[in-house]
Amino acid sequence: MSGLLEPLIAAAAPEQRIALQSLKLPGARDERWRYSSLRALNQRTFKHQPIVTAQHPDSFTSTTASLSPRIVFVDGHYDAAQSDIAALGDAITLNPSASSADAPQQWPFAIAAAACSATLDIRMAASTASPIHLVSITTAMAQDAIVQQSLRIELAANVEALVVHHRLGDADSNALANHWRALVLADGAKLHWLETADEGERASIVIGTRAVLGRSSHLDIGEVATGAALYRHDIDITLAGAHSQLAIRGCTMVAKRRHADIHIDVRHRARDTQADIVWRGIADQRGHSIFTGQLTVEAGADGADAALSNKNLLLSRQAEVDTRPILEIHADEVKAAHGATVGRLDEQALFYLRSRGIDEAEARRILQVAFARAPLLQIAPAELRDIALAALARSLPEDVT
Amino acid sequence: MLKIDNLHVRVAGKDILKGLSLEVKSGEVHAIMGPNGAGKSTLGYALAGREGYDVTQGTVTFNGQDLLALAPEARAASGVFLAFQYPVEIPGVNNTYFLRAAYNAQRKFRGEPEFDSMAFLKLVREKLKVLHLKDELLNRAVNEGFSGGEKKRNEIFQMAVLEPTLAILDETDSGLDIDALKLVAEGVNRLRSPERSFLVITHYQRLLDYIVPDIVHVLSDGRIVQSGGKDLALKLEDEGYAWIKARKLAEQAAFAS
Ligand SMILES: Nc1ncnc2c1ncn2[C@@H]1O[C@H](COP(=O)(O)OP(=O)(O)OP(=O)(O)O)[C@@H](O)[C@H]1O
Ligand SMILES: [Mg+2]
Repeated sequence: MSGLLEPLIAAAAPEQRIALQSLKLPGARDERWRYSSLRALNQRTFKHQPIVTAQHPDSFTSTTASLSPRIVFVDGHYDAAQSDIAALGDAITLNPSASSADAPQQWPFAIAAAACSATLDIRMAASTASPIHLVSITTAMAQDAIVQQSLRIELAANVEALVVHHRLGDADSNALANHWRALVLADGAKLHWLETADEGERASIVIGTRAVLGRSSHLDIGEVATGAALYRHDIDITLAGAHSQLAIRGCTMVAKRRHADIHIDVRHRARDTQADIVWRGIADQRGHSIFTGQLTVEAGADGADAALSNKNLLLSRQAEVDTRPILEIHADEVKAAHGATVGRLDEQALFYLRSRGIDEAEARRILQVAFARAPLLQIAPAELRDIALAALARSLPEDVT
Repeated sequence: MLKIDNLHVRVAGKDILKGLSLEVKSGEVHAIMGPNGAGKSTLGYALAGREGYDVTQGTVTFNGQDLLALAPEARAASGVFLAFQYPVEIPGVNNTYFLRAAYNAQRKFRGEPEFDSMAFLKLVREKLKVLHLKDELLNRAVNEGFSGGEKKRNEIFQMAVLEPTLAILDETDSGLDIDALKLVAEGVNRLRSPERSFLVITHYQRLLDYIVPDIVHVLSDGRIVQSGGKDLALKLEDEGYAWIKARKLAEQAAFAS
């Protein structure tokens, strides 16, 4: 058993733990985890006991309070006292530990998260106009520990909702945060999801997001990924209902020694489904940005439209970018396009800006922001777009070069 | 104001400028003409500080300071402006945002207070009127999708806002229609003052009807081979560069004998 597995399943109920001991964490030869080595995590010593929710530090109280309506998690646990969903009335119901979100077999982290933490079941029965904020706080109590969170969000038929997930952590936190969430969209439902974070360089984050889309439903996912010591986000989408649509708009900005591994898997299962993914990455200093996007059009999913674009900027000798767009088609009358590029900052543009008086560091910053924000500008709900752009601006401090 | 002495510039391992000397006094307009590939743009880039344009010999003094020792942004802040022969498209960067960033960066460099967006917009509107540039261009990405002529006008617009003391215009007239050419010339003439000098690189005598130069130089094979008054441009228009080459050959023959 790898060093990480034991603490990862320590919080599970004793009767479950036996079964969980046969879980296999991705090893060095696992192609899907090729660029996200768990070696460092396996060698660390994590606290075994589950973390008891503590008062979170003041640094997050004001941020959290400014977000409303909100559902707050502290060190993986749903915190009813800090949450505020009064404004939503009957549109939403929360059921702590109602059902275990059935984690997929090939996702050991998700299985562990579902076993170790009470799944919060969120059901949306009516549309809401303004964004619902999910706030996940990793406190100082979680130093040297693993925090796990499990969520299930279901949108009833024709319901439209906006959700922003904010992950907040202390700048020097070294916790491993393991997030698992299952999204279920009934026919005609529309979910706009935005993932943002403020985490330090020492943190490790593993996220599994899985969604199943009903007939004519829409899922938009936006993300600004700034990486961590280890950052892995698996996004697994099944376009199960005819005419369902997925749009993903994201960017990765990694500098210092940060790592970010985005792994997207989309399956077109029904007729006339659409997936459109635009992701841009920037790796500076010793940052490592990884992107894998696999679009599979299954047999019978005729009329599918699958598009994937991943462009990257590599800004330093020590930085790394790995991109893998994969397209697999088993149906007829399919429209498909995919492309990936890795380039450098445009030297001509840089000189043009400098020749007008803008100093080199600022000129670089301007060009990077312009590059990274292109996908974010396509996030349709203005509130989510603004939050994404603000997150991007925060991720590029002026001294980035 | 500007004194270039025996300037040698190497680009990609090739010597392009081979001992160019030129002096521009305050308030003067100098035209530079010369065949394709002579090194005119190279001179502009070298003065603006572009990387890869290595000065292997010679000096450039600008208002008493060693221009070659300065970074491109410092040259801009000290008053050097290059209107590019091929303006660069910068997707995703708003034209107004870019220009304000440049304007404020220069002011900051000189220790002057920065302009807020309201004050800057007022300034921009005034300059726009003069150049009859479409408002809409301000809200687009820098030069992206601009027509050839729009790009050139955008260069002159930037010059009008930044008010440099030395403006180098690299073939700003090529690609402009007659009306635009007059507008650009008008923009330049408005800025003409005893404190401001211009280096106007052009292939066409026509521009010099509108922007009347004090001195015309011919740059050929990396050197100034001939300087004169405005009629030099007329003569070149009539006879082409062959005339200068022929004369040079004759001189060399005389020298050798
Ligand atoms: N980056 C480069 N790599 C190689 N050669 C270059 C480079 N830049 C300029 N040159 C060469 O230097 C010479 C001078 O170029 P320059 O652009 O200065 O000419 P020019 O006088 O401006 O010509 P034109 O009238 O066509 O604009 C040309 O032979 C050109 O091919
Ligand atoms: Mg040229």
